[in-house]
Amino acid sequence: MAARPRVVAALAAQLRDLDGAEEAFAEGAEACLALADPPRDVAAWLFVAGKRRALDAIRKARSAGRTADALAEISDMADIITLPDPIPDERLRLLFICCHPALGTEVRAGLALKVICGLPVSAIARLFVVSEPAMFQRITRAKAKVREAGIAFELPPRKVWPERLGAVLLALELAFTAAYADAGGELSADLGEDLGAEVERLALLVAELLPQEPEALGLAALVLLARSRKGARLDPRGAMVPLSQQDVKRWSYSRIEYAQGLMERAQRIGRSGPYQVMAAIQLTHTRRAFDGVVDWNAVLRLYDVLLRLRPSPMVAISRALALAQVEGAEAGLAALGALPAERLALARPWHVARADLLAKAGQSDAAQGALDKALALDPPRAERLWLEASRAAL
Amino acid sequence: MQFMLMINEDESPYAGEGGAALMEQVLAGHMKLAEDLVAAGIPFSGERLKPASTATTVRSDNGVVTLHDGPFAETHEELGGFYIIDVPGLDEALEWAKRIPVPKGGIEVRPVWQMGPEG
Repeated sequence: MAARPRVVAALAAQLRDLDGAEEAFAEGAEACLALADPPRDVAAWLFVAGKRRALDAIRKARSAGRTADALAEISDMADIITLPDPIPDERLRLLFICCHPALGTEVRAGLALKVICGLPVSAIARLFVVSEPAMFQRITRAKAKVREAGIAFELPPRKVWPERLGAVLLALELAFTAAYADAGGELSADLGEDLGAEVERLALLVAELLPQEPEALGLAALVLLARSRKGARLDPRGAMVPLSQQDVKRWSYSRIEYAQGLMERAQRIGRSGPYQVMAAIQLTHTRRAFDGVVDWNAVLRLYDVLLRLRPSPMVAISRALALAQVEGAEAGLAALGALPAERLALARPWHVARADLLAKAGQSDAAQGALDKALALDPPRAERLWLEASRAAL
Repeated sequence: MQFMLMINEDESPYAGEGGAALMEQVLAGHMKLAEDLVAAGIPFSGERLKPASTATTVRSDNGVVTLHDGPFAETHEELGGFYIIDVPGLDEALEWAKRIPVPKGGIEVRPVWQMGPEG
């Protein structure tokens, strides 16, 4: 439900309780669905109904001798009966709470998707490849820590935003990477939830709430650009189509334009960072739709920058592929050869990249071997079909 | 709300060469921190503990009580001292924790259980 983030955030800020806010929202939503006519302002209605229900719950609990001072924390009945219009926007506050650095990196994104987007725990568990009970326990523990450890329900002062923002963006990036890995949409189909769309919504929300933070804009642009290719990532058989072979007519140009606008705004602010560089790389690939070719020199330079900002074997592999486009497959293979092969033995992108360059260098047998290794590493269905087709084509 | 900042640190740097000078430096850091806490009007208390080699642990297992020579857990980082501070929330507690001088180790930050009507 589109109103959820705003309503849950406003409830959480008032009640100072994540569970209470979620429960109040669920009860409000249920009551809303039972109405004969939908209310004019759904968000405001849900906020008021949710708050009233939470207040009732606290009253009951208090008469049972618990939470003596909780009642004092929330404002009185008069304020509840008058419709606040518009309801306070506390989404940023809620986001900072869910992504507090005192919570484990691995649970922040899950907590944000659960509380802010209302994604079921089963979907979040599948997204992060853990069992449902394990994810449930992580989220429960995180909520308990928010409640007990003194994590403030106030918006942190601006001076600590850079540190806090990093935690928010990392959480989003994890969610995005996980959602993007589901190329074939099998996970989304299984769960009846469009996970990529939820992550996109969250990324756009962060960019909307923090318009002065260029990295927040960069990450939103990155998510949009990845999502713009959704319609082109699979062939009719369900096999993955690599970026360079995608039919550009199937890209979503509204998303590409939106992303471009976000990146221009980020650039005007003038503080570069890894997410902006990653988005710039994706945008350079997008130029193929307009220029007919990819400016591989530009891609290579951007990977050089990214490698300095955020060195990782995965970035180095992508850089080697770009280098091969500029200087030839041999140069790309040499760059791959300089990476620690034994540490990458279990990384599928490593074998896929080697197979690609070996095939281009005319070493079909070696390319086949690399593809076999990639196939042995249990790729998702869409990638497996593509790898098998590449192998057959050798 | 009250937080306990537990200083778990490696004792060995103080024993090695230049250990005495290091200790002096760290103690000066604690004095400065205490002054800053006073200046910020933050109620606090704290103590420095003698080394883990002086520890005795009382263990209980279903009513059977035994004594052990040594700290609760054998690690290379030992509880060396603590502060209890009263600040609005975790963020402030973490800021103060970052200012505790620790050559090698970590600070565990935990809210103190508030005794209320719920006990």
